[in-house]
Amino acid sequence: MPQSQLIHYALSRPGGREVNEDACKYTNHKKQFCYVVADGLGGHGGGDIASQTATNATITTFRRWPSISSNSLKSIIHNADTAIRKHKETAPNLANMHTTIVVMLSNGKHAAWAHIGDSRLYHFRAGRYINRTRDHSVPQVMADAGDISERAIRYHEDRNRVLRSLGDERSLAIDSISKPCVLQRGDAFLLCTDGFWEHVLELEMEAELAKSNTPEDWIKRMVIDRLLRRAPSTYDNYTALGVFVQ
Amino acid sequence: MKIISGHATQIISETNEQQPLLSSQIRTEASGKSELCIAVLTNAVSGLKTERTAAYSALKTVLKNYQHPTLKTNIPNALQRTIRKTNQIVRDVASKTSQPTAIGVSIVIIIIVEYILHWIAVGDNKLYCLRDNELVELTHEQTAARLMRENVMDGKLSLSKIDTFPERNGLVSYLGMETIPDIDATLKPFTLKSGDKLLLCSNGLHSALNNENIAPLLVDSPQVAATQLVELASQTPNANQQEDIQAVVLAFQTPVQIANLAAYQLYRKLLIYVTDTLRILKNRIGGEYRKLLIYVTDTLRILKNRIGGEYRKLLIYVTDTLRILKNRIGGEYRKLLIYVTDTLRILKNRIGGEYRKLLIYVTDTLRILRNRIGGEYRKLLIYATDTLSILGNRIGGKIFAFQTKVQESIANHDSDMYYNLKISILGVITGMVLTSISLLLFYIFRN
Repeated sequence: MPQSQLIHYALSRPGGREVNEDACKYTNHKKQFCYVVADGLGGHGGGDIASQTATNATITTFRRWPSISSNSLKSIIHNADTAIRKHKETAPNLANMHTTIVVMLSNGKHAAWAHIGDSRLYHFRAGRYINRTRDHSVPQVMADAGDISERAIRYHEDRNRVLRSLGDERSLAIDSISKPCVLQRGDAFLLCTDGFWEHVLELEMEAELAKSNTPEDWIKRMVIDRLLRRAPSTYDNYTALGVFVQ
Repeated sequence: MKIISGHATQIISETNEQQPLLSSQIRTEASGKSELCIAVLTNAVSGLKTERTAAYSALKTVLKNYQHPTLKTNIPNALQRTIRKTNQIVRDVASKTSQPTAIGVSIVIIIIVEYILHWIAVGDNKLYCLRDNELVELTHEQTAARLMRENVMDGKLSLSKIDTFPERNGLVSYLGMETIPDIDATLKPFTLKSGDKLLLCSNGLHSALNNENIAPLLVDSPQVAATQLVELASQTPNANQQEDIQAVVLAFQTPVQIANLAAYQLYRKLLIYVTDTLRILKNRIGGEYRKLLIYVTDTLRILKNRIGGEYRKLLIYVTDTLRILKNRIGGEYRKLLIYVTDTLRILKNRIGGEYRKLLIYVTDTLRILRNRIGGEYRKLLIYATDTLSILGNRIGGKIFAFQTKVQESIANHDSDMYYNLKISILGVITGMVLTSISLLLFYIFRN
């Protein structure tokens, strides 16, 4: 398939919180694209620092090695984790900081992605939701075991129990890396933090996709017509990055 | 794909009105294997008589200009053109009244070609899709609140301000305006799945009912659903007496689904059989066992009314119920429930997997159990085990011949004192096993 064009749009907001501890970044290096979203946690502004550190490290690593492969994803995740641990050593009051991450790499022909935590990547083909990353969280494990339904994950009381994150005490298991997949024209991807996906249903993502010719339109519609209609006044930081393959 | 539709309306009629004006139309045409469908709903924004006339003219305009789409038709463009024409018609009607700017009409049009849905909407009608028991609004609200949410997204306003704004539900876009600021329209196809339901409705309906009220009623056939929705909406205390209540419901079935009607009916009969058996049993047995039966019976009764849903969801429901149960009942009975629950969970994950292996698993499990538990309970397990091993050797065999064989084997065991109990309990186990078989057959045939 001849090379497609990738266009994207990102939106990140604090929601009903004082500080936005989500981060998202993008880079394009010689027609190799990298998109990354992170959701930071930890007191004393640590969450903000953790997510910025992780996304910065991602961009730096990718620019050094702009390859669309499982190995480059592994090294991105590893470097981001290391960067956070190093930062922790310099500032003892940031000892609790950690972050989720979801990163996608693409050259227009193939795309590959990886994640740690409960920030997600959704894949849409011909307007239909076909796949998403599985969260490293307690409710996701329960749903995979069949104890609760997929739908119940959003509303589960243990939804904030994330099992893996960058900068965590335990050493990081990096095994949630996709094989590169072949892109088709009309594909769409959504990278987002849980503050976003908890308030937007997959069928709603499809409906807004049908109404949108650009990722900007898509993301904004999902925020205005779905997220902000559901969210309580204390709603979490939310970040959404949409990519269209044209 | 086959499209089945239904519609219902309750129109506020004025004393000197002779006949309610038509407000919705559905047209389908079968073309080879696929069906094409257009459905239109128009209504007056404020309920004024002149608005009604305008709404009717809008409806007629849409239908007059409609041609069934071909492969070459750009449906979104065709719908946009239709809206422009219709808007002009409404403005023409309005210009002849004393207050032209007071006239507003809401419209929603959907066009379906095979599995592809396109829609266009202006005003306060809504289009919903029910998929896998989840109800989603496909259209967005064209209200002042939406404009405020744009400001919230841009950081200019806090979210909590919207709920206290008195005019938040004011309509900002409708037919009759010089320039329509917001048109809700698909630019790309939206793909329907077999089993989806669509609901087009007026403000009179969706302002009276919330999603929790609407979703359960959509499970019924489209005409029944539409009628019940309108009835329920007209009865709610906060129903706006000035507004028409309109509902159009569409359902989609693949030919395969229709062919499974026979399996579906058999499934239903089995559930009735099992439920009746359990009800007889619960009146004869006391104690904790009684409570179990009450729970299982209730579950199956609810299930009976929900047939049409997916096999997997059925199992999740039954499993959840049994799990609640196992936490309430202790002792050896608890172990049985744990095994049954585990079995069902495995079954869930093996949909399409080998039936025989499953039976061997259940049989082995129960055999282990019967060696650990004494008394009457042991006898129950012996019977259940025998039953299942006979079944295991007879996959595909005739159901009723099997029942007779099992009853023969009962006659060879033990005294009459427990005869009725044994028959009843065996009936229960048989019923549950038969239910499992037909569920699996149903699923296999569905593929």
